[in-house]
Amino acid sequence: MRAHKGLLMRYLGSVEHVLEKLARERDPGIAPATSIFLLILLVSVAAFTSPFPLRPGSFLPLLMAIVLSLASRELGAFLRLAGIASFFLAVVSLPLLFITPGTAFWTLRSGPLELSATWDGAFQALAFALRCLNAVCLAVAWTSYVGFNNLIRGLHVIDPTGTIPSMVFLTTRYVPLSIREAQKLIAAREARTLREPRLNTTWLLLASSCGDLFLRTFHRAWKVNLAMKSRCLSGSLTSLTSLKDCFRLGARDVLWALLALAYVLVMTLRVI
Amino acid sequence: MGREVLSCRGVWFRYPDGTEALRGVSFSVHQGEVVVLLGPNGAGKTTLLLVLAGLLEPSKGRVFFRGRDVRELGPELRKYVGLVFQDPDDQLFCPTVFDDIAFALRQIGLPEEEIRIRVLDLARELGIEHLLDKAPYRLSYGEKKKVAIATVLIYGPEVLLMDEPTASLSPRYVRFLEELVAEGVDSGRTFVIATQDVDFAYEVADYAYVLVEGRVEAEGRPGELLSDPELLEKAELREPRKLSEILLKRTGLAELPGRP
Ligand SMILES: Nc1ncnc2c1ncn2[C@@H]1O[C@H](COP(=O)(O)OP(=O)(O)OP(=O)(O)O)[C@@H](O)[C@H]1O
Ligand SMILES: [Mg+2]
Repeated sequence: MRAHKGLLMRYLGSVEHVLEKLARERDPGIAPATSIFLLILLVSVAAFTSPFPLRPGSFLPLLMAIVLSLASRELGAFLRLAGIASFFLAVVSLPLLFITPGTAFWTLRSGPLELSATWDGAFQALAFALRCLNAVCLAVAWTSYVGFNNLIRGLHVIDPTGTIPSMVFLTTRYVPLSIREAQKLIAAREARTLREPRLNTTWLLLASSCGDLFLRTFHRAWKVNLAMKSRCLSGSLTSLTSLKDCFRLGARDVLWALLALAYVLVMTLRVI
Repeated sequence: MGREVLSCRGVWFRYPDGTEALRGVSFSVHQGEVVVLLGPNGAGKTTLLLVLAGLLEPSKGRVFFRGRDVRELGPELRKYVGLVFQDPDDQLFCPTVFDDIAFALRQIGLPEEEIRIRVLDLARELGIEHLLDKAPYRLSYGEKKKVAIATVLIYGPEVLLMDEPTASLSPRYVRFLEELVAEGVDSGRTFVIATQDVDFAYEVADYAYVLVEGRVEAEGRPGELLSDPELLEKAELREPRKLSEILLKRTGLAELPGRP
């Protein structure tokens, strides 16, 4: 396989791999309600606390994420996702470097156009990227620790009608499905492409088959939906038989609540 | 013969693109019976199974389970009627084989411990234990077919609808399927099997329907239908091997030519 073809396939493969890992059924011994509440708490604290001035506490969410993914034996999947997230964050936070006013340390001139990178901008971009990275990594690690399905069941606390949980459940099934369809489509087209493939042709192939991909995925999703229905004995996709199941609290729930409280205090009071 | 379990009367089905896949099909299967649906590609076998499972609603006609309209039954029907899809990729949607087999049991809220025991037992019986931790889409086609059957067998529905269960499976597995059907019938289970495999059909079936272009072309005992050359021609089928052997023996032509 040629390197460039591998790049696209590897990217799709990684995303699919991570999603599949997250969607595995796990039994962490934590009640669905606890898992969803702690997810919201841990992630929002990480997202809304400025990492500056830099101190060990700024990296606490990242550290926790690593420990959690070690505990769920998903460090590989976690690192892949952290890599993908860092790449996108770098791209997204780059404009901050130029649009924030302040003392310029580097200026790009091209005719009438002048772009200045400022120290304040660099500071802003870094703070933004680090906050997002902290939040994303913690969310992923917590999800892989408690299992996506546990969180989806926990969503019943927020939406007892079950509409949102079912939608999220279907999404976790359909996204990997469409990625697999994309992979098959690319492979099938390339098998019938007689010219020597190039980097741009691989992307062109994907771009030109977008409509096709959409239709194929839609069709497959329709069939899979029938299959789910036919084995959905309880009438609810998330296999939650009653709302009470969400609140079966145990010792672990208490332990995690205490740990989370300690984390919130450390983060907001900037103890370390 | 037991009483009628699943049936339909004058069923028409039209896909959204206008294809009229079923044109007035009437069908019935009795308790403990094995019925096969035969017919050329595109005859409407898969569509009929989806309608019988209550997954597609016919544009005309009605489907009954134990005399009750399946529209009244709603999701309750699923406990009694299980469907094994033709394409296992459609059927398997969980991240691991284990999760996929356990899906139906988790739906009814069994304790995780019991689910584990049941899944392991069934996997051992089907010889797919070593696949339990794998992702379903990473399996070979034949392995997927086996897992797909396991996902339905696990909750033991009374009526099992199987769509092309023998396609691309090894002869040994086909024999295993024949045993599975025989054992199922002994314990009172009912089977409806869509297939192109006439040998398998001849082996297991009590009754057969031949579908052509969405209509029931013929119905009757498989031995009779499968020895009618005109019908075989229409349904793009051939005579089952066992039947030809009997005929050959009768006509004294049993010595088949082979390589010297
Ligand atoms: N989703 C769909 N949308 C539109 N037409 C469809 C769809 N699925 C099947 N058809 C059409 O309906 C007709 C019956 O299809 P069906 O899949 O029931 O045939 P089949 O007897 O199972 O064939 P095979 O032996 O090839 O599996 C065919 O003409 C097919 O093209
Ligand atoms: Mg079919």
